[in-house]
Amino acid sequence: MRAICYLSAMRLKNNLLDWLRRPARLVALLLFAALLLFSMLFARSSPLGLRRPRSELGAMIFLLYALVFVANIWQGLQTGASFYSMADVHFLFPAPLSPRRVLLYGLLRQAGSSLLIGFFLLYQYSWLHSLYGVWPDWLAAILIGYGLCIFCAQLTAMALYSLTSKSERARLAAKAALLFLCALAALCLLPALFYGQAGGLAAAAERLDGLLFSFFPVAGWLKGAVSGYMSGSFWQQAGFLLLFAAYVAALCLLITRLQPDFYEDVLLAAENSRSAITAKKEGRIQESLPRHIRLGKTGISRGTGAGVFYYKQRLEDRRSRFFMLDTLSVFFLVFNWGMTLFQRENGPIPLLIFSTYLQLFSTGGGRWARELLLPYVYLLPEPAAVKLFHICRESLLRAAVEAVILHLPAGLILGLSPAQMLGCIAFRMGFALLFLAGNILIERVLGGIHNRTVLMMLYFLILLLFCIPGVLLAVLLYAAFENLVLSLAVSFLFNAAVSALIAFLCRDMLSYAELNQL
Amino acid sequence: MLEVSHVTKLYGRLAANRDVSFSVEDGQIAVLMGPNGAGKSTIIKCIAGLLRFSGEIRVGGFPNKSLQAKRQLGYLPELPAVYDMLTVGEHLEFIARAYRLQEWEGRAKALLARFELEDKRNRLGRELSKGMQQKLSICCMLLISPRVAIFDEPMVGLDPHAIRQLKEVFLELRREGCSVLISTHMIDSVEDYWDVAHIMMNGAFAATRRAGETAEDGQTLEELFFSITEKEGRA
Repeated sequence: MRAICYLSAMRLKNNLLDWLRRPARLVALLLFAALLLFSMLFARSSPLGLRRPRSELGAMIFLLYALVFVANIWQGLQTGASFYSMADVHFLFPAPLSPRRVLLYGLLRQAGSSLLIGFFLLYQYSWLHSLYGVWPDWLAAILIGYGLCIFCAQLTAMALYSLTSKSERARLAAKAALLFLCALAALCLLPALFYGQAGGLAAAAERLDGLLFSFFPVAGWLKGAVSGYMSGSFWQQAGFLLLFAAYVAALCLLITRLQPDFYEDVLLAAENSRSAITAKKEGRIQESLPRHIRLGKTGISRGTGAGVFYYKQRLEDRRSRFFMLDTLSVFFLVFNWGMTLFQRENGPIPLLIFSTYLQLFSTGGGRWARELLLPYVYLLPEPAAVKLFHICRESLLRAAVEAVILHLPAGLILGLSPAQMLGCIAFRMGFALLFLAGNILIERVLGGIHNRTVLMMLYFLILLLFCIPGVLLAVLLYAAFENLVLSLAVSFLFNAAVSALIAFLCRDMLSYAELNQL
Repeated sequence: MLEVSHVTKLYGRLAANRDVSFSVEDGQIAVLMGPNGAGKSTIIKCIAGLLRFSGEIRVGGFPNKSLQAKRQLGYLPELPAVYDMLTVGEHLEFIARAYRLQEWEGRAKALLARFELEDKRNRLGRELSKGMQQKLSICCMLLISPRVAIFDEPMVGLDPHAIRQLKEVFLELRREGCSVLISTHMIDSVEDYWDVAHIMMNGAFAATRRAGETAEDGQTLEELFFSITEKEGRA
């Protein structure tokens, strides 16, 4: 135990010293702390009558915890829990230390990391205080609940992985059980959404904040405990926390008694973690791939010269995911449909604006960016502009499919005419072209920057600046002529023209790989 | 033929390559040696057209960034570059289609057999070990039958059989009149077949030796290498 205490103490000490040795980081930390303090000190609470219902707060807390819990378990079922680094694997695991102590060390470290991850919640104080009357100690409770949720999800994932890693059937059964739990929760929620007295989001929030959902494993218990704290109910807090503690104790018992040799179960997660860190350091893009890949039909079969890149990417798409769209895009689609359904009285404009905003986040990826990190596209004896077009074809096709899948059902929900639906599709495609061109420009101009924070800030700033003219044009035309189709079509033409100009200016991007540090 | 004339590559104020000039004739094997950070990989990447530089590089008489030059150039990077989601066979098909090769199937099969990848034809790139990925990269490079072939640390990660095969490949390329440039810091791996050796230090050539020449002081290539690099290290 002394060895583990020494290790923990030295790591903590050296981490602190590392912070002190990097003044820029320290200044950034102080700035963030100052921002947080400022937002807390000057947050103004709305008058009681204008506050939002407390049930909405409870519902948001539950959804946050549930999402984090389910997502972490789902991920953990693939690779196990990432409590340990490769250094831990190399030094701790072979050492003559009790596996239970090593597990305890991992758990405590994970608890600390989980809490740190949730620090973004503290920056939400301002609007939470304004709309829901949340106090600092309440926010601290929400943060602690969030940290505990992540911690417990990791622990659950570790336990499940230990039990199911040897059998694909068992793993599928665990996944099915998780999906069943989520489906059950959705079934319990649907009646409130569509059939209750009030119906809609308010009723859904009431249901999510109610007693039924408090029994959802871990997420519900923690939300119940946090709600108990906020309402000053000691027994509610104690009851749910006891349930949580019993669950954690049972999991630890399960891991140490039924599967005392858990080292192998965390090895894969540690290796994946290390691989992701290395990729990040080298500026490579790490693709999240399914564990088992169905080969399907082999051979590229089509395309010559630069055109082969497109068919190669289609083949890679087929093997790496179910549909044309990745998980994030599907999530955004469902989100957009949901928003359209519950806000349909406001027409298509909110959907167009919100979906364009979400497009900023889903456009960043794409296989074309990965091609830049391998030498083939630079070495190929084809004109640079032709190569650039062909490596982007797959992204363009995906954007077109996404636009149609989003706006056809949304158009039906909103009761739009075919011309209006086509206009919406064109509007989205225009922004897809614009964001793709923007990404190309960012790679061309900023590709040598590996500081992800700076890169992400500049990325969003540049793309936001790009999309303003197209949005303004559409809004002004609509205000002037009240013709949705005209404004959407003109916006598409404008964005397409700007994209073409940017692509033309960046046509020599593939003449050398300088910016990607090959 | 490969011609490098007065190439300088700067990263800010750091000169990774300083006024480097050399050539590799048809049917010649040139070796670039030097310690870590000498600038070997940088000059290789400049030749492959991956980096901007000042100076001139010509491949088969054409500027290295021209399409004509790229058609003749084969490049093996230091780190294996394979696609996770393509099989071994599909990598070769991809190269054949990209370079518009004709009747490439027989050559591809022979290369896979030679480097013991035939039975892994349907394995995905991500399922291959590092050594296998390196072998696959070699196969992809050789499939295009380059006239100028540049190898950056080609033997790292290869098993003894593959190293022997690769050495035979070097000799075959030379017999076919290809200009071969190999960057390595494993001196004993190139002892048997180099025609000209350049020793790099701090971004420039510190010495050049031609095979068959006897140095005034009777030094072998290895001795020359250590005498230069250790002297610079002490300075």
